Amino acid sequence: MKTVFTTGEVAEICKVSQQTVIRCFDSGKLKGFRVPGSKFRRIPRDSLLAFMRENSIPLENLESGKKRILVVDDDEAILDMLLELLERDGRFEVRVARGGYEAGMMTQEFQPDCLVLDYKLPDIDGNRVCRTLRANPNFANIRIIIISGVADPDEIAELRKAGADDFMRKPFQIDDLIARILQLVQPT
Amino acid sequence: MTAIQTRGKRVPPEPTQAELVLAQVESLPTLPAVAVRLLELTTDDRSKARDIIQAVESDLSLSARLLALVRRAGIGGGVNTVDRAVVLLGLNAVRNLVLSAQIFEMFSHRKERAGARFNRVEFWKHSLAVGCAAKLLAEELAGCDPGGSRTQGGASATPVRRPQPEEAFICGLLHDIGKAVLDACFPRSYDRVVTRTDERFGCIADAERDIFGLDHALAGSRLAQHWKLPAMIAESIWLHHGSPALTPSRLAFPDHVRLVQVADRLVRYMRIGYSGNYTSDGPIEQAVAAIGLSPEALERVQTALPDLVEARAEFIGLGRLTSREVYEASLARANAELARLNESLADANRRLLQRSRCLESISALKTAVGDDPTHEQVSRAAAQALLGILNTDRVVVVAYSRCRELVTIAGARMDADDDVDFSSMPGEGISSDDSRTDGEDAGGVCVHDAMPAWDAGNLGFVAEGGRGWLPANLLPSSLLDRITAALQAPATWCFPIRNQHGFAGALLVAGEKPGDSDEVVPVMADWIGTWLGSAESTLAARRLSEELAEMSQQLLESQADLARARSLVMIGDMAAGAAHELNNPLAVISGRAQLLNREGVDEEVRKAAALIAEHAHRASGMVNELMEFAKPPAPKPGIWDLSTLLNEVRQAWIDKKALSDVEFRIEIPPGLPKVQADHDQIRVVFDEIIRNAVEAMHNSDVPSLVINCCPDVSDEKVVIRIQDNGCGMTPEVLERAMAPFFSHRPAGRGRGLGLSRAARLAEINGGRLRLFSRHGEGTQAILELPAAVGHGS
Repeated sequence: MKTVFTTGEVAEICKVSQQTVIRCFDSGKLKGFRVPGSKFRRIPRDSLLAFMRENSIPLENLESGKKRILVVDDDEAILDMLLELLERDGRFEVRVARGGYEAGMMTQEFQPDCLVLDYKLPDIDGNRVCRTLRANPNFANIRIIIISGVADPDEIAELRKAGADDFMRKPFQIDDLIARILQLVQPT
Repeated sequence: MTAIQTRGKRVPPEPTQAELVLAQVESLPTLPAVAVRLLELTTDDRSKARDIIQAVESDLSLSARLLALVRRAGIGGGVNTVDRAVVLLGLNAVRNLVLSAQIFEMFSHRKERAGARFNRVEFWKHSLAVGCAAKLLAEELAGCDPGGSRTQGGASATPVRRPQPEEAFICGLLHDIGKAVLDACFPRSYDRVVTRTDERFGCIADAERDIFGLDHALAGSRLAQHWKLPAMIAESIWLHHGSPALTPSRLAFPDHVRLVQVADRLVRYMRIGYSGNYTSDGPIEQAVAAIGLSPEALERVQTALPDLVEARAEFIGLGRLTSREVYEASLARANAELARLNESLADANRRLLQRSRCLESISALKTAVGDDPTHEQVSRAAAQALLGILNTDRVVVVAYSRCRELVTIAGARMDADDDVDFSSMPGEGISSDDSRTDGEDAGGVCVHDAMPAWDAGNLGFVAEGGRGWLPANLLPSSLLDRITAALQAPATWCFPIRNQHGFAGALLVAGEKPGDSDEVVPVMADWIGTWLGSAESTLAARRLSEELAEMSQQLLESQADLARARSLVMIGDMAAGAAHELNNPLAVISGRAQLLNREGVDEEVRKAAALIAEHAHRASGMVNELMEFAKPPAPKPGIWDLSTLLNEVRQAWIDKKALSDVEFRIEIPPGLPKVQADHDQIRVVFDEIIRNAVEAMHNSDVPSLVINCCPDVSDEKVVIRIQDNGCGMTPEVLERAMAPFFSHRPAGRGRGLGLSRAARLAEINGGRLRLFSRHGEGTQAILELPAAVGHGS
């Protein structure tokens, strides 16, 4: 995925002239940097996103149109299966992470719409992941579905308090999972 | 025992003391000149009558007395000179006579002390009588043995010769000289000797040894050495306590010693004068026979003795003493002695009687108390026993039990007719004897009262008080009030009972201090204390074993609970781990199967994939169910109406067509309390029970399920009986019916968690599920649930 844009690319995505983009960059409305040793301007993806949101510019030209899903689980077989079934569906762009730390990195980079998160991770537990995401305004819009083999009602309540949007028990019905993801990422 | 044995065996307790006494003896004045001169003559065979006569004539009073003696003896009516008397009596006789008179004067002229216990006159009378008896015995011996009757002085050449009468006389006269010596040296101590001897009817020599460390025989023989008296006298003094048969023959003068021994016994037997020896030495005839004299000779001596004593008394300066007086004095003394003996015997008898009564009482008490006594039994029996011992008509025994912290008060009372008088005992008395109705029992006894120890007040001082009767008012007043009530008279004296635990109780009486039984009461008190201690120990042991039994029961129960809890925790942990570990692969299996099952795939494959997915979910369900059983969610209790829930449940089962309307009945009495429990969990309980019942009634022609509810007697529970008429369970099945995963149906027909889950849910809601069943007769499940107090329907 493209993470840094030129002023020309930004003009095309935002459907404005390059001059407008340069003016916005120079006035500080669009955050970015100059390439060291030259005067070329560069805009990082999240600055662009923030700029587009602030100015109510539709995001569809920036995004692929598919919902970005980050699947976090320590079980390779689960990851493979979820990756396959979500990609086969065609409506999702899917990335995977094998632990809490990797999930954090990927969230930053991938900017997912939804996390499918195994509650019991080897390094960080689900509660911590939820709280960390919710503490960062940049991730406020990310939806979280917890999936777990153990379903203690008290623990589920705790997860919801920490910021989880939904919970699903393993094993699950594929259709059910997809339905719930779509329900979360496409608010009607 | 001979004197030698006595000396050999009895080591003086303090040798220094004996030596001091002997030193004092040796400090006595020496003999008068005449006596010394006479003694010199005896040792010198060449002595001449002339010298003796001169010696005697030099003492006028001695001369007068010698002449009087000769006249009295009737051997020379006209004798008026010493010269003549010496011729008539013989030299030796005169010498001995003079010597005795001189020695007598040495002691008898001492001033008589006021209040002295040692009667010198009676002492000399005894000595004189022994001397006379020895003389008479010697004459008898001479009479029956002509060889020994020679009276000439030349006989001294033979080492052992017959004692001549006058020799025997002086030996006998001086045999007890040691007493006079001790009395002269230590008058006060000797008074003590005499007092002790008279009190105990003992032998004066024993008392002397106790007090001086030596007896008069030793003191006398030492004096004899000091005065250089002839050996025959010294030996007689030393050994006069021995018996003739045991006197060693290697002495210089064994026959003299034996004569004195026999004479001493004879005089004591006849009770002439004061000998200070009350011990009996066996028949006098035996002693006389031992020196070879017949009973007839003894009789002659006894007859002649008083007259001879009369004759010689005057000579030695004892004054006039008729033979009649000797007799009478002897008789009077014997009588007085008898009277004293009698008194002492009566006294001893009285004491013995008291002791035997005490022993009897203790024995009776032991019988009454039994082997395993209680405080009540001991105090009751003790009160009764004491009634017989103390000279009182009412007794109270207080027994304190430390273990029970209780004071028991038992009273015994004897009315004027010596009959039982129970009506006089106030309070809720418990009669001690079943026999009291027949009126034969001598004492009225009852446990009057028992009061808590803390109400009785501080008893500590009684535990610390002295031994013996104490004033009763030392007792705490609250306790004293109860005792007075039991006695029906103010308690005046109290005797504390103690044992190894300290204060154990007290005896109490009214009226005067019971002095007469002072010897008996401490013994009784000790025994009572011992029994009370035994009662206390028994009680403590029983308490301990009861507590032990209870604790071990509790321990068993808690062990069982703990084991169950631990096994549940283990199942829970295992199930939680299993759920996580199993559900991941199951999710993969299920997911992959679902991915397989899609459009365009072979129909066979799609069917198999669907089956795989379904069973993966079923396996997951089992794991989840097991986890829920081991770690059920905490109940959220509410207060709700049982009939509403039951009707819902019933309707659900009827809707499932498991049972018909008729087959499923519910009986709920009006006013049944509401239930306080987790509504949803209890619904599961009912569902599980009913499922089990429905399965059991699978083959019944007319299934019947009745749910009957009623409040528990305590109103704290609601009891629900669920009765089916199904196949029932065998005892083996019943026993394991509520164990997880147990199922008596063929394998695979059920998961087997149903009833155990129901029981578990009932339990965490404060209820209980039990099953009663007989094979072929159906099953009754009894479910108890906590009632909501104050929430009647």
